[in-house]
Amino acid sequence: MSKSTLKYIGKRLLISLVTLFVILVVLFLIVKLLPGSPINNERLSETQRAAIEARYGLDQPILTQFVNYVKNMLTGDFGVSYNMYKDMPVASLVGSAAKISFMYGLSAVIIGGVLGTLLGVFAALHKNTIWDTLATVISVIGVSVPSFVFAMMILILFASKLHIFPTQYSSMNPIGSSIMPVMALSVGVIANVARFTRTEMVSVMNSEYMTLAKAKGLDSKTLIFKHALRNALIPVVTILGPILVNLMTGTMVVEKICGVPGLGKLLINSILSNDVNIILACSFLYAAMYIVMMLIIDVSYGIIDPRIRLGKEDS
Amino acid sequence: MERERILKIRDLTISFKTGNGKVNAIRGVNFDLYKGETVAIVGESGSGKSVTTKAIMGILANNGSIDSGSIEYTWHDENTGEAITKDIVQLSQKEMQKEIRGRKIAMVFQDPMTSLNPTMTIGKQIMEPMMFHYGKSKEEAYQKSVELLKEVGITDAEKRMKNYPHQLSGGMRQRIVIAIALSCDPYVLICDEPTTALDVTIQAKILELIQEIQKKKDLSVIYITHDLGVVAKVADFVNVMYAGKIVETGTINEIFYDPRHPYTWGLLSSMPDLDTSDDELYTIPGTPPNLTQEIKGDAFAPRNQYALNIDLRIDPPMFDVPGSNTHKVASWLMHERAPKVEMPESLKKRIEKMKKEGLTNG
Repeated sequence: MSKSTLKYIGKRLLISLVTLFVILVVLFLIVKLLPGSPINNERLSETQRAAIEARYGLDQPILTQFVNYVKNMLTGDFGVSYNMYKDMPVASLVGSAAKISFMYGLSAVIIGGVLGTLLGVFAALHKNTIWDTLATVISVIGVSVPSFVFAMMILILFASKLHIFPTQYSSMNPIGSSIMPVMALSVGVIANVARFTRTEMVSVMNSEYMTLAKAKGLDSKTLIFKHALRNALIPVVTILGPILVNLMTGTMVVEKICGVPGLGKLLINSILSNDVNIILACSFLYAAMYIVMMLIIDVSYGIIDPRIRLGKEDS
Repeated sequence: MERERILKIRDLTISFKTGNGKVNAIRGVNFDLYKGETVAIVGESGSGKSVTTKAIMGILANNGSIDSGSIEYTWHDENTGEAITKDIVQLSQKEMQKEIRGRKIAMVFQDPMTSLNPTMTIGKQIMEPMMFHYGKSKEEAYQKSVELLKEVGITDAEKRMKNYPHQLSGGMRQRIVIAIALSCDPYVLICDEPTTALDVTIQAKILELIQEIQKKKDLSVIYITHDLGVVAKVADFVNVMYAGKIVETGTINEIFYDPRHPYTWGLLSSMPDLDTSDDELYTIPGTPPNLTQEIKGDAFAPRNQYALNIDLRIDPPMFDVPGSNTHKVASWLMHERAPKVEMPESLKKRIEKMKKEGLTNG
């Protein structure tokens, strides 16, 4: 990596940090402005409640609370759960949930990315034939039907009728029980990637440089894999990152249906029970992931596409 | 010395299936290409110039098909030196790809800004065809590519090998495209408007480069262009094309100094030059015909102020111009019973001037 690439990444990192800080301020304020209190046990008396609030530092002015929160955050301490998992550190709660969600999301993106690319290329190469139409129909269905509907359908088919896969998440069988939710999640990815790849591939195949490559007398295998695919996939890569983040946030319902103890489920439950620190940590994590993802994509984009590769002096 | 025929195109008819019906893009084209010579195909956009050459390369769009005719290509076997003649039209796509395309007939494209793969280094793009067709090793291919780059006038060849297309100027990119075309030592080079997309200052240099290489390697070149200035500089023979047919063919001097077809008159009259600044530049009235419809008679008749009645009914055959065995014209005006029609006065003056200045290379 050249010097100016590093400089560019450094600059992007700095901007990301500022963005994250702003997000944190906004999140913190919103969470504090939420009606109700995390100490919501009705049997507590006023003095008991005040004592608990004092113990967690909730009686202090909001600015002090924020400064303390940031200070602890920098040491990796995101506070403790107030009521869902009494006094458990949020960092480990969110961490283990995020790990599961991330694995699910990543698997769905990888599976969906590969299958979607294949489907898209297939459709593009059979443009305006019955195969193209079929592939288009599949991807339109995949894009328009929400993933939880697929989750339900897959559950009914594979779990209730065929009894191939377990219905619910089980920590005893993490891989087996992940098959169905990942399948449900990847349908949308396949559809999106296929649609995108098809469009890109069609325009690349019609480009002048493909005519030149053809005029060189290359066979169609070389034409497609060495010349067309790379150019067609550059724009596709840009949508994979946001798809992954969307999957992680969008898995909530699928996680709920399949009983997966992931980030989505944790966030929903924490909102329902007003567990402020978990809400904060989850939301912050989503924002951070999004930003990191965009950064990774921008940098990798430069590696794939030499036109935006930075730090090479143009002649 | 006897001229050696490389390409013999007879009665080539090509049509495209489109949403608006069948387009008869090429309607019976004949021409020959001899070793070491340059043939130019001139005509308006949509006259079928590019389609003809794409057919020779076997890279017609998927909706296009050769309905009839032949493209006979003659080459010498690399080992035995024996002459082999094959009809390209009869070859399968696979045979075309393996034997002909890139290897024996190569092409230089119109717009160097879009005709190079943006994500592949220059070096790879030049090395690719020789490694693919001749199984050359990487080192061999690299050496030859560097030589080729030098040959097409690129300084810093080794450095340029690592560059990507976007790092080079348009003129340099066109040189790269030429280097790619030369990479497999073809016999025939097809140049599809090779200078149209370039800066005027670069145009002449690229033309000179192609001529220089042609001489050095004894290549046969087909030029497609609408620019008669280019034709004058490079061609030995000219085919004037209109609506998918060749309407006049001859040597460069015959076409420029003794044009016979009213369409050629129109083309020559509409060539801008420095003396015609005071009046408006001549344009041929009307537009080319719609090739989805059956054309009755001469396709140019509706735009032709000299059209005869017969032009509206029967398509003129190729008439030989008396006293020449190369000059042929598809116009009823050439018939012995046709009224005598002279070319416009202004064009006559123009031709006189061109003769004096020696505009053509002939």
